[in-house]
Amino acid sequence: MDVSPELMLPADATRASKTAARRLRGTRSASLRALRSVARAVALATLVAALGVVAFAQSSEPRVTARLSTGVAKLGESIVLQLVAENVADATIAELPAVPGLQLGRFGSPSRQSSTTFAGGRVVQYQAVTWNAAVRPEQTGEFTIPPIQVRVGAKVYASAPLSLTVVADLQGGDLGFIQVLPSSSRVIDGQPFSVEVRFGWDTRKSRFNYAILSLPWWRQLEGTVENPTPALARTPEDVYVFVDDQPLGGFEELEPTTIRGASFRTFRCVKSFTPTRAGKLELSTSSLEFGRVVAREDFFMRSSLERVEQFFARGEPVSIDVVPLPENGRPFDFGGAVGRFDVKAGAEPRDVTVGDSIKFKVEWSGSGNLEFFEAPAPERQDAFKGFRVYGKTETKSVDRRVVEYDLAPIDPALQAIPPLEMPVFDPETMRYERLATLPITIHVRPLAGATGLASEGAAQQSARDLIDIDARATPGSQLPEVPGPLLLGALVLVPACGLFVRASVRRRGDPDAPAEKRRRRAKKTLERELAHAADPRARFDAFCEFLGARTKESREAWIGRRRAQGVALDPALETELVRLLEELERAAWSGERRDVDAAQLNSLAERLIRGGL
Amino acid sequence: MSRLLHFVVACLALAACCGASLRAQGERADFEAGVAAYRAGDFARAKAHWLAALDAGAPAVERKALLQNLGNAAARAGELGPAIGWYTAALRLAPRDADVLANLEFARREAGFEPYDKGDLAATLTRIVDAWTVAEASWIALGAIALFGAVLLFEALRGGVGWRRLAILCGAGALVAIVPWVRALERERADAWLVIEKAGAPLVSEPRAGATTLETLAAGSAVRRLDALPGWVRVSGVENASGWVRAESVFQLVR
Repeated sequence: MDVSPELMLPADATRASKTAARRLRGTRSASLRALRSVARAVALATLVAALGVVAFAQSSEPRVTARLSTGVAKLGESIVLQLVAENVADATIAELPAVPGLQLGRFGSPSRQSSTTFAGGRVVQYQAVTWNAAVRPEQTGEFTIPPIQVRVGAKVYASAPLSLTVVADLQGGDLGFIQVLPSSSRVIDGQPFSVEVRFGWDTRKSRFNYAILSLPWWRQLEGTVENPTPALARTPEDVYVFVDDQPLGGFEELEPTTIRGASFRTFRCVKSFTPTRAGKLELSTSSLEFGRVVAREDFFMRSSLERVEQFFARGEPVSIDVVPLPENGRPFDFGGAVGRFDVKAGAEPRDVTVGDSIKFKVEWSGSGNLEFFEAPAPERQDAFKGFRVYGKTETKSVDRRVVEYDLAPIDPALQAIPPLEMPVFDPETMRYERLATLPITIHVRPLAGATGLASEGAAQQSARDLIDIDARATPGSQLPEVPGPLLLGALVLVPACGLFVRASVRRRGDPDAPAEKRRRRAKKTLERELAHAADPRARFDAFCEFLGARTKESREAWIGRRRAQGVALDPALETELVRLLEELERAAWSGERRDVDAAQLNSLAERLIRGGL
Repeated sequence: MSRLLHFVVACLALAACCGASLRAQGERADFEAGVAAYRAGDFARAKAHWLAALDAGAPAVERKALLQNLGNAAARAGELGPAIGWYTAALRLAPRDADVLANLEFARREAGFEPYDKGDLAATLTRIVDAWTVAEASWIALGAIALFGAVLLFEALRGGVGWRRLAILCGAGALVAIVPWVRALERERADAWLVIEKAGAPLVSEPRAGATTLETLAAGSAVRRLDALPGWVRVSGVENASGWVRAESVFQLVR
């Protein structure tokens, strides 16, 4: 039976192909051999595709699992919670449960895994998304982490609940300690406070060289702003200290402490905060992991630390009460200064002329919110009425506040810079007090020819008064107004007339052309040349030049010419011109003594121009 | 008959001259009485006299002086808003009068208004353009046009690049010189009012209490009157939105 390979079921494809091949082997037909090869290839491809489809169908259901790195942990030990969503390309964690007594850290960014394997003759594809989070027990006991929900598309899947047993590290509690010590358990709103963390281990365990502090409030304490902390000096170099997973930069080693009759190597680190609202600040349970680590290097020479010994100790939770500033007795000019301050002041220069600048430098120091209060304004204090305040510059630090005021005395009678007052709330006495600088003696010299800036100011004030009424009542000289239509008409007609004249003139040629300029200058040139002409020849040449310029011809065109051709002249004038030209020629060329004087030539030239030459 | 007619015409002319002279004398008397009252510190009476002289037309007395004096009387009486209005009205008649300008700036500063001359480039240019009365501006414009004509004539007769450039320059100058005249005409013909309320004047949709406020006209801003009802003035606002303001919030500048 001939069966087309394309129509066969995938399971029978190989067998049918072999049977067909055996039958066809006897025929020894080349065409049938080719057909057999094609059938084999098609059957194999169909088989692989079918198996792949089956494999995908088997692994398509998502599954969420959660596991802990250990089921039994010591108090303070950090455990890893791993959440895996299988058979999904992407997923998000819907909600993280809260478990009292366990501190569940945030899940980090997910890692994605994808693989394709051949197993048992089948192709299996695997996809998974994995998250990790740190879990730190805060107390001993049995804990159950409820199912963690994972959202895949529109569906939500949940992991199975997890059990965790937390036991105290009795040996760690004996070998190490951690203490959280606030500077005060009760502070005023705005009053800075510090929190010192002391930790360490038994001095007999000299091999211990690392500590990991678990301080949930260290990075951010709700309801406070963190103050800059001064650098601690004696940071040991043989110890690694971390807060959570970050290396701790500022810590120092103290003298060994005796606890429970044993000597402990002791370290400390400090943070300072300023409360921003009243209420209770909770510094939840702190723990210490300590022990010994050794440095290892891998094949690529990358060093890492490996725990060799590990112990845990637990600290007690601490709370701080923040009480509001009392309203009773609060000064109107209270600028928020809370604490116990000292103040000192200086001024430079102290021998000045009225109006000169004095740098009045005030420095507050002590314990308090030195960085946050509003510095007092001298211009608002009556004692500084004799001064003009041009400005101030401020320098703030944790332990001091320096403000430099730019003052100028305006009265030569001033003898001192008065005390600068600032209201401060003292948290120890729970009262508002006024802190004042000591008066500083100064010498103020008057301005030359003036009594001071105060009187100068008064003079300016009077100068700014109204100018008196106009009592003359002189009749105003009324300038007549140019009628609007006339103005608009002129605006239109003037350019129009100008353009008309221009066009008319241009019709006769360009007035700026050289020949036209020569023609306009001809009379002046004639007068000038006649004035300098020494003989009849020069006068003849000058007159011919004049005639040539006026007729836009060359000078030579008028030598020997007896008619003013091309020029409409009065016949009498033309006759006179011809006659004078003959006389000039004779005088110039024949050597006769008869001559034509310059005045006669100028007169004729004038008449010729008027006559249209 | 003809003689009789001539006699009647002569008598009427004489009567008109005498009437004008008497009226001028009356205005002069009001002016002097106002000055005397002002010197005596009776600013209300001074204001009444000067207003009477102003309402009479005051051809014989310089109106600018009357407006300036009324501004002083208002300022001395503590009415800085009206004082600003009087000074602004005086400045319309004598745009370059230093005394009026100084008093206006003083009153505006005391009242908490923005300065009349802000001192920036735009304000300076505006002051230069608006520093002329209509008559002055018209003569300036005519002079510029005449100069333009002369230069144009020279260019037509003599030609040359220099004259041509000068003609173009003078033409542009004549156009620029027209601007103050146009501005002065517009200023004179507009029924301008000034907002004298320090907190600004609410521009409401209808002349009644409780009407919707369209905008608040800033103190010292100029508006144009469109209509009036007792206690209310309809004006065109800064952004050309028309509405009603209370009459006491604005001041008429055309006096």
